[in-house]
Amino acid sequence: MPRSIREIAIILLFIAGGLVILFSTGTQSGNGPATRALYTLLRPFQHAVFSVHNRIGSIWYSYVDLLGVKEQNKALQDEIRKLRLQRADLLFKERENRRLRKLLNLKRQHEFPSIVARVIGEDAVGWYRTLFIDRGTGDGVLPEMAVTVAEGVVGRVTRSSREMSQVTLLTDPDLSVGCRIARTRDRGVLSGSLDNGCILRYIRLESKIRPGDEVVTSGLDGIFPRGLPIGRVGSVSKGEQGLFLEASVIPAVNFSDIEEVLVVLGRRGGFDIRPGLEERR
Amino acid sequence: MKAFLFIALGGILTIIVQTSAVGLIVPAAYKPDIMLILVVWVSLRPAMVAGIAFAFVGGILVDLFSGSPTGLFALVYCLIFVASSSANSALEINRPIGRVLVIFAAALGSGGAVVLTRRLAGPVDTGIHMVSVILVKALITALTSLIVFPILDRSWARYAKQVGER
Repeated sequence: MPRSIREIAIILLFIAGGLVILFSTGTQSGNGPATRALYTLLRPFQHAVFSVHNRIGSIWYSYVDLLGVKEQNKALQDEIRKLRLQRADLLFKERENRRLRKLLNLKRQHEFPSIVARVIGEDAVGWYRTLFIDRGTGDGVLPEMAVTVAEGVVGRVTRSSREMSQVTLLTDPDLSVGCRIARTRDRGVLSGSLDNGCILRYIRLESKIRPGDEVVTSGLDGIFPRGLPIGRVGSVSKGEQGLFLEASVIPAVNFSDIEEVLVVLGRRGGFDIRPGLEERR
Repeated sequence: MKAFLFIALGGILTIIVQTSAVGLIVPAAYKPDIMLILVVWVSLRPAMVAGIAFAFVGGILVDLFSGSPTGLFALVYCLIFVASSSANSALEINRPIGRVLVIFAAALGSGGAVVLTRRLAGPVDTGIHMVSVILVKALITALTSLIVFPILDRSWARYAKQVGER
């Protein structure tokens, strides 16, 4: 209950004010003078507060959105990284698959047993041209066995333990291979030279050998089956003593790219060297 | 014994690195001989018996993991060990420049020995190309020692602290 006349007067004033406002408004709401006056009075403040609110809201939502974008960006980057890894893995597997398919074709073409081996290391000091494969005596790989890839001859097994073997490459001077020029049928002995190529020696002086001729194994050394590609003749010259011709040979195999090889599981001297086999191969 | 264990582990690690990772960085023909660096490092330390034993075993390891006739690197490394050890006691070469020069000379000697044995075994090119390969390889090995020596020094210091070796 109101305690004094003053309080009653204040209450009545407010009620009267309410009535004035109510009855001063016309039929259309918001058009009354009090409303207009009030709006005019409040508009700058309201506008200021609202624009500040809007700005803060915009900044806030931008921040929240950025947080989301940041997370999304991170997730997408992770996904890109994963996909890149998957792609690299698939490319690696595809290349491996292609190489293995070539080796498998070569294995089918050979009429002797062979085994696929993976290259696991190379010569420790680089003075010699050797590499290491992951097959040894446990898999039937023994010294003196021929090692090939689809492109041609790689080398010969020189040492083997139960788990791994050492292969001397065609480009090593310690390795000699009985060869034949495919076009002229001339024979020669091929050995490596220290500058990464090979030299075909002891070719008869009357030979019509010329650069570009294909060199294949003759099978006469009893290690390499007959007719396997070795490389192409680079240049021809007379030997030191002038009794034979010599030819530099560019190997068919790129030795730095080898990852898998085929080891021919044949005994020394155990290959068929009848003429015509290389054409069949 | 503890010192020998350290250098034996170093030797095994070296042969693994030389047959795999080094080939990815340097072409095979110019590969640095890290085992030779290890032999020279050992020769500059007082453990004479362990050192020569390591030079021999390290050489055999290299012989087994390269196409060299077995015993060639065992002999070459033993000779390098003795020469380097004697040079160190006479000239105090255990300084960076001295070490690099010793490695360069040792690598030249090692390369010369390899080419000589190859020449005796069969016809190989021993002309200017071969001389340049020996020189470049020796230079690469000497420069590699600038990286390998501090690693060995630091690893040895840590190992010695751990096991109480001087």
